[in-house]
Amino acid sequence: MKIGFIINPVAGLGGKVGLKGTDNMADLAARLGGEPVSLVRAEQALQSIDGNDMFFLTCSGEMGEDVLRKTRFRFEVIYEAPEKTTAEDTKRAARKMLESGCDLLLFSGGDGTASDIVSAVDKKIPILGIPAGVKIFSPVFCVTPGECGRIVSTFTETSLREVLDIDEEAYRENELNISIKGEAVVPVSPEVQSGKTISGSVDAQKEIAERIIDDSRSEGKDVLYIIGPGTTTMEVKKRFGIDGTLLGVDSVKDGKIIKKDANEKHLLDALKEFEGKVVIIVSPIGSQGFIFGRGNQQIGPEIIRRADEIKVIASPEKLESTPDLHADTGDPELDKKLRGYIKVLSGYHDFKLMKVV
Amino acid sequence: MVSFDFILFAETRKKYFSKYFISIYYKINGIMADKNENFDFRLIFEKSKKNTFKRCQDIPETIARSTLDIPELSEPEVIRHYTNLSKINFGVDTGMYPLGSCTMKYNPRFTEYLAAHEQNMVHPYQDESTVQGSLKIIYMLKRYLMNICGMDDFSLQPAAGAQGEFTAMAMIKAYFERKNDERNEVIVPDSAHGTNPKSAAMAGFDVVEIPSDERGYVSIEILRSVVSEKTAALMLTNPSTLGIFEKDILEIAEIVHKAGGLFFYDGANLNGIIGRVRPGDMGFDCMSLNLHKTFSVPHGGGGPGSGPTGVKKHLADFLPVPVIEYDGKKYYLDYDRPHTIGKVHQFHGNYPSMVKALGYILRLGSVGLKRISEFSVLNSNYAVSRLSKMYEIKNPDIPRKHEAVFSAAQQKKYEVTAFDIAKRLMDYGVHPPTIYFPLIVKEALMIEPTETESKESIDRYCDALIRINDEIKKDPEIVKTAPHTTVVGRLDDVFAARKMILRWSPGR
Repeated sequence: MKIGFIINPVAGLGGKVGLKGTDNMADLAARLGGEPVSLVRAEQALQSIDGNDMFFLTCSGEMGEDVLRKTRFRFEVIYEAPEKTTAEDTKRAARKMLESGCDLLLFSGGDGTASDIVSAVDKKIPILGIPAGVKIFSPVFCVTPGECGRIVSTFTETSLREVLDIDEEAYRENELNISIKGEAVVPVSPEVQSGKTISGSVDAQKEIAERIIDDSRSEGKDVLYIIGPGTTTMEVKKRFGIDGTLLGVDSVKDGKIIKKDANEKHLLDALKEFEGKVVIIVSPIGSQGFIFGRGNQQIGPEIIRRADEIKVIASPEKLESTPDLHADTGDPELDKKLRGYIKVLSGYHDFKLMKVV
Repeated sequence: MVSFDFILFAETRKKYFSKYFISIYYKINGIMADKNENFDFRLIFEKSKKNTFKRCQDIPETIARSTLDIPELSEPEVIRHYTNLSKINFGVDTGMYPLGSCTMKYNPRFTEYLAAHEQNMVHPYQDESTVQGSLKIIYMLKRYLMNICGMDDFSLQPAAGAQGEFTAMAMIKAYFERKNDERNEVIVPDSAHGTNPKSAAMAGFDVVEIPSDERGYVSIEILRSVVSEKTAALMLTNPSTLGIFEKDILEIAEIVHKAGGLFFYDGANLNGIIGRVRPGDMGFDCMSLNLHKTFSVPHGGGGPGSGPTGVKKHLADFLPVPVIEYDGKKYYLDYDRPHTIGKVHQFHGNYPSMVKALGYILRLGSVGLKRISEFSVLNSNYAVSRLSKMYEIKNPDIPRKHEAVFSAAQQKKYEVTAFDIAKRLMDYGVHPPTIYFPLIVKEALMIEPTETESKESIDRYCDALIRINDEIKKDPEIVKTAPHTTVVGRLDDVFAARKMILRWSPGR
């Protein structure tokens, strides 16, 4: 197996010094005495890999070579990294690895690194993160570096996941602003399965989209659908047959796109003249569980109030890692109104009752 | 694929086999084809016609074979092969088999003799007047089940618990359709058997999964918030998969009924309450049973199963036909169910299972049936008392019914999983419990000793688990690499998933 291996040497530096992320802050973090977490964690991860049939493609110096030298693995340096590395180096290295045809891209870093890599390789090869950043919200990381070996040597299939990131500048000002940065293909290692799982749906997203479309047929013509960002909602957009956006909000009526990547004003304008039924379709942000106010602020309080129905959709897999749902619409009254139990569509016939807290 | 292999098999080897063997293969697979395009059974008077075999059209040429080498084996070789396999097998006849949620209890031999009795060798097409005894057996069993469960009628057609669930769901669907009521939601707790939501979905319902409360009970607050004019039914197992009796069962029934819905009982866990409380008295409108659990009919390969579906009066007209009835003089097949959902199984259901279950009920009698639940509850609570110090169990203060769910979460600190513990148990010569179910318990080990195990055998099982817990602390590797004493070691399921071998080929 040929594995691409990239370390973001500055990832995680800001964690212990309280900088809430290291985007554009590496110098300051280093001066404050942040440790090179990323290198240590990457080494732990590599040591957990069994077997000798792995061959690594990597970058020079701190971006991979230095750590690989400490292991027994064979490797080749295919990207010469400068002394001071930036996000651009991660992207360039990832592109090189894609061109060299590796089977898996292993990286050590955080959400920022993940979104850089996804912007370079898209969904062309599976990626797997060694958790080393300050922010590790995206479901593309192994839980611990030690778990990495098991996944690398046992994965039999891949699954589509959302790469998330938060706006660090805002986060430093104590504002949590999560958004979806793209989609990644991630290896899935076989879990020990009971023969009695409640939902065994192989392709839940397709089932969910099918159901939304079937319901839309019975809902009739005069319905405006406001569809939020995400992988699951993108499947719905595809089934509507529209050229929608993965990261944005699109509005749809009679199977036609009304406004692609709409902002709050576009949506409000569209609603001004409209008298029919308004349906909002959103998917919670994985593990945080925000249905409003994170990554979909375009769907503002006024629009939510106007909606006749809010359909929350999510795969059973995502719901498993999401204990509760949250709404942070910016309007405390509305947030209070949204609290309580809501049925989340998770398969063609399957709903799961979730609590909005 | 399998059928296709058999076609080739028969094609290439037919000259070496007796007609008898070939006809069996045809019967098993139903693949015999004549010159017509369709595959079909060959009728007896067509047997003299020359055989022609058709290849299934949708199998691509690239994966089709034209020849097949099959090893030539003599009768003693075949007998030895299967006898040796049976020696390395493990079943409830070999040792304790505490597969939670499955009620794997000993199948008394006398029921086998009853079912094999030559009086049972009747044909389902025989006239009613010539099979009065067999119909009486079915009718008697039905009456006993009605009495045991507090239901007004039963269909014995369904061949499995899940089919029984589906039958009930189909009846509920028909019931509301007849009333022009467009209810389409079935509520299922997250601790339910996986078959519950699937049975409801198959009958065309939407399934709403609700979370249990922190003690494992159905949450009254959540239930109240989810029932509506859309609610067709609530499906519930009581005792639940955690082995806990729903103490608010009457209130739950009331909430569902007030919302206009029906209440379905999954009888998979009846072993924990039989003779003590009846589903009908708890407010259930319909239910399914598993004769191959509570009533000691063999499970799985020893089966076939039987999943009778019981109903209260208001659903009786929807039962599958025919229902066996008695008019005071003779037993007869009653097809007069005006709103029947139709047949769910050919003829009367799996008849030998019914003979066994009736024999079991008659031998135990009302006192014996009560002792089933007494002893199964005693046994599982004894296991809890022995194991709860080493293996985490939630809310140990709540008495368990027939089964208990432990968690290997503490053992996971030593990087040992429930899966490893299950494998290690095999080294101690006992069968692993159900693992990773129910999903609401992490690293679940679900133990159901059943009433047929003695204190000694439960002790032996608990001793093994306690020793494994010690091993985990001292030498976790031995558990992580188990089993060591079985004929095959730990199977590489990743290798199996990546490199699947789906057919036999010579030289392997």
